[in-house]
Amino acid sequence: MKKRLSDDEIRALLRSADPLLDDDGPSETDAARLRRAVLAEARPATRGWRLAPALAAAVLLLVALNAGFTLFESRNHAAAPPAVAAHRQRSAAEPDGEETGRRQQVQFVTANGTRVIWVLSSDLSL
Amino acid sequence: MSTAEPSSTERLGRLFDLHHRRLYGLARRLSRDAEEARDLVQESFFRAARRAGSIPPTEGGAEAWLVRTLVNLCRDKSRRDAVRRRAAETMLADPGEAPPSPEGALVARAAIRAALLRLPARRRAAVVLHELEGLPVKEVARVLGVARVTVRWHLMAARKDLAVELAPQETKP
Repeated sequence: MKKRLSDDEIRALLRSADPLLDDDGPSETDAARLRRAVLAEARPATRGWRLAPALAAAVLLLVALNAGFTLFESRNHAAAPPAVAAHRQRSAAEPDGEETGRRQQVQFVTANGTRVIWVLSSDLSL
Repeated sequence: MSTAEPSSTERLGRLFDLHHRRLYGLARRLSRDAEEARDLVQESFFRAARRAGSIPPTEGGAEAWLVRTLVNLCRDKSRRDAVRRRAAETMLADPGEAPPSPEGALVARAAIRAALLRLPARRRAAVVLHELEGLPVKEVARVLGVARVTVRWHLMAARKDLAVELAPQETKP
């Protein structure tokens, strides 16, 4: 037969087994060491948070620059008529007045952004 | 130049000075040994350091935040160690396996501690805060962040479990 313990008996048992009866807690030295460790843990976190806005600003600046450059490029291409663009491409692709080989390439971009590449072969006779 | 860092660390330092002894006492009562208790206190303050912004500004709120963090850490640890803990505590708590020795009182204390450790972490915390620290139910509820009725329910269930767990030792000749 098991005897059912009353609430008071349970409380008394728990108090008799309280580990703090024979434990004075951490020494002053241990507490000081732990305190230093805790404060050291706090510093990198605060530094990180201070850097966060600067990082976000740098990323935003990069994105804005990239977007501006892309817009500038696309406007430039759109503004030039196909013939001019083709001329530009050709002159960039080959030395003046000379064929670079048996094939010539002409590239241009139309006003709505379509890129056209023509490859002209000197062997081709119509 | 910034004032945020010093004030944050200063506050943490002040919280440490105010509460570390109390937290250690609670951790010691909730955990198996002093080393585990020190680890729990350390991790609680580390969390406070990492999440300084989530600590309530009031003194009572900060204390409750620290206690809840410690209880949660204790619960997590209990879950991780569940299998190993059960095996070890069963051996300690089984009166049939307790060696008859002059250290009987020590064994009995270990058995009581083991029975307490077998309770779920939050229930154990409610028992320790109410029965050992002497906090009223209302205060236990505030510190643990639960309703009073929940605390009463935990206490009732814990007493029931402990009454069954500890009774055989009382009837042992």
